[in-house]
Amino acid sequence: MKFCTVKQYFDDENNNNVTNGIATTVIPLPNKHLKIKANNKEMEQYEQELLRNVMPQELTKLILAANYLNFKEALDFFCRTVANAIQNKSVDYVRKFFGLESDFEPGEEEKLCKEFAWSFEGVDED
Amino acid sequence: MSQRKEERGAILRRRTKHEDDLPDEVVLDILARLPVKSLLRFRCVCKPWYSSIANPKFITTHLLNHNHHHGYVIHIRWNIPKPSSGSSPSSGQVCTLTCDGTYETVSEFRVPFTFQSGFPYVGGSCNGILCFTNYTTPGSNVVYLWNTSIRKFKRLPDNQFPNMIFGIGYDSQNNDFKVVGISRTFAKSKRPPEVRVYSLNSDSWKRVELGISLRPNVLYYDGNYFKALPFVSGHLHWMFKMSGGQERHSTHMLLSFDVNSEKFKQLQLPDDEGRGSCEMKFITSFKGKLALIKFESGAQPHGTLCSIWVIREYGVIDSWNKLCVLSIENFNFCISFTKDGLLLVQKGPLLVSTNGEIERKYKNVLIDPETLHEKEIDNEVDYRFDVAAYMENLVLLDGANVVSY
Repeated sequence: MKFCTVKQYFDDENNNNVTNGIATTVIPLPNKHLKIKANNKEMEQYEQELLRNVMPQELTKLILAANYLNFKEALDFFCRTVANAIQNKSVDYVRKFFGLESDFEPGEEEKLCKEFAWSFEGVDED
Repeated sequence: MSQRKEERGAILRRRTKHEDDLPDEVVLDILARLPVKSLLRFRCVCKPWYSSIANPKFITTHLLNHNHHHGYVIHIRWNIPKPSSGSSPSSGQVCTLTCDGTYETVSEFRVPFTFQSGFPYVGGSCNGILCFTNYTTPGSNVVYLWNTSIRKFKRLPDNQFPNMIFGIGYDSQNNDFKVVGISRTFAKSKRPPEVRVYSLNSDSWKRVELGISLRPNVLYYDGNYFKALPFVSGHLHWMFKMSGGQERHSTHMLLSFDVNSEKFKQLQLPDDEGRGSCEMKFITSFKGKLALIKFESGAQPHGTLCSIWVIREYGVIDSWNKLCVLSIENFNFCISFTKDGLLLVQKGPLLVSTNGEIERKYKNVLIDPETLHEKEIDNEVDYRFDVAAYMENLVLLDGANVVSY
């Protein structure tokens, strides 16, 4: 089931998507999920603990691992965490996070910022 | 919602593909979880994000993730002016955004549009889109759609409407919002009913036949007392009162409109609801089901009896279930049910003496139909008001004639 891909991953020597640190984070999740399936609060706490020391940028690697392993619950959780982490951040922060560059014409971006000026209020400092 | 070309391939990455880049579906998954304020700001990240966020498919996915109450929008209608002051109906329209549950005020804002005549009220709301209209002379009906979460509104194309009652519903088959109006008063041959249906996708109105056989010599008129028309189980509902005619068996007609198929049906009203004449009834929604509320004078001098019926299973005959009968003291008017099924009513006027002066006070109370427990909410509204669910969504983000404020 979930574990077929894991075995395949370990067999696949060319795969360098997942480092040791990530293997220790992602792999134990299915077991833990099965153990505390019904108890959402406990799961939340466990997940908060896991990610407490993980920098947002590391989350990208975790997501790629979960995506590769086709592990839906972990993917869902990591995406939720990223969404919470970036929700109140600036446009620049988000660009850096996803590795994007602005492709707007010089005046265009300013015009857009003006149209939604109120959505820039109360944003976290970079 | 505007038609946009589906962008394919690496739509969200603009530099050379990097091993560590997240796949597009994952990025969209993350974006669809964000609140609207963040998404409006992130439209400025890059052009692909700008268009992805306004893409109808994305808007629907986002709506599904945020399809829960964030609170309520309370719209205070034109207050009956006190003898000393005169206030025009369309100025000073204030709305407050309140929390779910406690009804504590989170913020206040003005209605960003005005009506030239008549008094404005909320005809209906659907997925957080409010449909505002005005009760006024024929030919001057105006309809606005308002998305309070992204601060955008749209005045629907004008049409020489006879005085109509409007409601709003969502067509799940076509991913479209529809506004439907029926003449406020009509009779079989002398004043045939008119129906107009507006589709947001096509941004246009069209006429539709009522297709219901009407009794001769009966005048049908608005029976819902400017309450929002309930959109439940994919259907919009109207209640009309009947006067004249020889049969005294029914005094009201309940109509449903299937928003997907655009067909009307007459629905049965509960059998055991009584035939008293000193009563007021209207339809509303109770926890996602169609409900009928009836008010009549109670036994005590200031008591009002409130009976509530709910449809157990939509589309099934004889599915009305009497939920309860409440006795409410000093009842002034009823507003609606909260998402948890509490009935919001206004009580008063109560004469209160403050510093030697007599004041008329009103209080707004939540009543639990099951426990009969009453709780006063602290919103200090003394006037008639509408309550609509506040839900975050991106509908009306881009489109013809949409105004930002």
